[in-house]
Amino acid sequence: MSENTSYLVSTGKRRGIAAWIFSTDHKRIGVLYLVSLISFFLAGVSLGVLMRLELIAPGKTIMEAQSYNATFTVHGVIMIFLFIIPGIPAALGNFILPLQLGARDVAFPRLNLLSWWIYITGAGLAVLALFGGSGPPDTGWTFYAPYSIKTSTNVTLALFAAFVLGFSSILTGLNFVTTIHRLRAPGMKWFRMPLFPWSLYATGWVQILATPILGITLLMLIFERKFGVGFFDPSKGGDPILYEHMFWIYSHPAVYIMILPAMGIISEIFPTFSKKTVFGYSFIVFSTLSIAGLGYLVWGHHMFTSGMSDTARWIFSLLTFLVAVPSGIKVFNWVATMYRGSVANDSPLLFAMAFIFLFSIGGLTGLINGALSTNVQIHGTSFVVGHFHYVMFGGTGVAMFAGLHYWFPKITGRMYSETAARVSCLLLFVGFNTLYFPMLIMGWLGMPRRYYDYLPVFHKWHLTSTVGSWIVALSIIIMVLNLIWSARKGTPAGANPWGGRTLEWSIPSPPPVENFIEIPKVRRGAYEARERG
Amino acid sequence: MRDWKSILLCATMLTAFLCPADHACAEVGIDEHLGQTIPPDITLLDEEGRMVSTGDIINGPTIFSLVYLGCRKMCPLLLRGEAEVISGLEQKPGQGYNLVSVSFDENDTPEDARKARGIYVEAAGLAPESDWKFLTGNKESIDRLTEALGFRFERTGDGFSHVAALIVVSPKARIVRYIYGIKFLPFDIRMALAEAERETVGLSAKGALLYCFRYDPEGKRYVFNILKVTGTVTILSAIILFAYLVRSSRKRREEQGGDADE
Repeated sequence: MSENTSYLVSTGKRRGIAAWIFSTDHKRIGVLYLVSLISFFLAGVSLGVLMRLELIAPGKTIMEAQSYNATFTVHGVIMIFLFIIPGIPAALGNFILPLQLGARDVAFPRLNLLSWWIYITGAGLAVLALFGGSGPPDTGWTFYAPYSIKTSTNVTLALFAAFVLGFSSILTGLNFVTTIHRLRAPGMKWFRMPLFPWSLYATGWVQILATPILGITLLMLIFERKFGVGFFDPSKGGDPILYEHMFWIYSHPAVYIMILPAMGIISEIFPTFSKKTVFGYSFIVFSTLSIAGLGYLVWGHHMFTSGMSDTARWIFSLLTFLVAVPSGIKVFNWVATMYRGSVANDSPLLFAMAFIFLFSIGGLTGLINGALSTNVQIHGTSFVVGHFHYVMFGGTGVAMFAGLHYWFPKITGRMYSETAARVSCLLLFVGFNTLYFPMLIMGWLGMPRRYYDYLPVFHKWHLTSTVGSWIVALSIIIMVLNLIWSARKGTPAGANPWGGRTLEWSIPSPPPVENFIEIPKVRRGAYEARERG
Repeated sequence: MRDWKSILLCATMLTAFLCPADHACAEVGIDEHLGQTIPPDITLLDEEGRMVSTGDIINGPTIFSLVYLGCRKMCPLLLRGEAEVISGLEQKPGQGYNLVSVSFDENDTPEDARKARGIYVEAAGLAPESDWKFLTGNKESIDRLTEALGFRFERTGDGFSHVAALIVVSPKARIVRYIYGIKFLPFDIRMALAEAERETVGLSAKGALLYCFRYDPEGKRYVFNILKVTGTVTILSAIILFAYLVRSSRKRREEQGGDADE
């Protein structure tokens, strides 16, 4: 076995699947995460399609109200806790981070494997909560008290699953932060580090600081359900608004756990496909850090209508508006990177451009939500649903697809069908807007979220939206089939198919087990051309 | 060691809450009697002191709210919420549906009801003679009505402990929906009335149940302490971690010196 043996070849004493699920190689763990995440994502998509099908016409269509409640809860829990929060850092981050830093692995490889096992345990518990006991939870993914205390459905187990998943998230964050501090290649100063690691660094701190709050909140809820302790139930002297505060103190920063790594991917793709260095590197770095910092201070905007002092409300509203500034800086920098570049329209860039469009709609509708007066009008309507799908799916989801198409040749050593990738990207873009834009309109007209039935005036919008869900599903099927087929049968991609300048492109595809035979020395910024040295 | 101490501290604080819960509240609440009918022969008094029976009142979709007129806390909020949502509806009470508020305090008089009616009819922007009925009754009628509606309340001190909700009843006197809270969406009301019209029994929005007099600022303070302890421990650990990483990485780089080979 030479030093150049690909990580895909099992050389140790373990064979088959055991060589994967007990591997401490960050690349294998990344692939494990990727496969698990995409499986859950597809499950979540199926539930979403079912919900849209129920809403295709007023009245009962395919399921009862209670099943609908359970479906949107399970859709939310799977998508949030099992897909999008671990999402990019755990899968692509695990694989790419050490390669971009010029390191042989993450700082704590065993901890890394442990965090995958914790993730799978949490996921198993979540699945158990859906099928075992007294029926799937029907509270919505937010588990708002006091209903989450009173409902007879299987909420306790679901809460415990989310609690366990939180540990996985903290460990990944801790691992990445340490890796970035300690394992950068010699000469890679902080401001020579690529932007994807920067985004993972900011995300890591958010994971470490915010997730314990979720842990304690969920524990308190479990205590309340099991032992009747009155934390949140007003009939026992508790305060349900307190639950909302504690929940969102975590869950809003969690939005940045989701979106920051997505922005990191986009910041990698634009310079590579424009064949020039990124525009405003240090502005992107500081905007990443300031989004992570401000992200802690805006949770109250989820609760403008829950009962809060007016002072608190305008302060939260103001801080929310501030987040738009660094986000806007990034969007301008990405677009400016293309200016006078030699732009190659390959599918990763197409996905990245779809990201900018969809994320911008998500961001701007976010300002409509963040403004007090309009928030009161649209709170609890499908406008909010449209908004966060634009940010989470149109932003994070699409960026993950972009990253997947960008690093696919590195991960598998093979190239996918570019035509199929373009078709799926186009269909996704069209289907996405057909699916979610009507939600913005309906919400504005007064369609509440989480209802399985509606008045006939909303019918045409729901119908359009449901048709959109089929287009999106089709695009995802094409994309997944393309990638699965190409992973086995694609043409060999070579070390650097895109002309990327970061360190992962300087080693063979797929990377050898030890990544770098000799640890590289870094003498220039991440996106500067090699020749100039 | 430091971590163990903080964990112990948290654990002690958590167990401090395992005191017996206040069970008095178990008497208060709503048992949803969805689909059941209200007997037509419960007699109540209207604002002029005339006898009316539930059979007379429920001649179309009807929205009941149960309050007591001496209430200074939640009932006015409930009635205000009701007035607010009604003022936003195109269809006014009397035009295809009835709005009825019943006092569950047997000491309330038609006189009190007339006053309350004046206030809330104005708040809802309705014509003074419009159809928002405020009814009172004797203990027996009240008990029969609240029992039929599944509404459990309790006298506490100089007031009552009870839940805020609107109860929607169909033209055939069947209970079709409970809408909890003190603020209502026009959508919910329109939907409930449409369902009542069709005699469809809906799944109630099991929203936040609000209780009178059951708020415990003491408990809230303890909860905040837990939050403070956790928050402080988390932030301190994060700061220590950051300081450690910065220091040790610097030391490591200095040891490596200019020679970057490992």
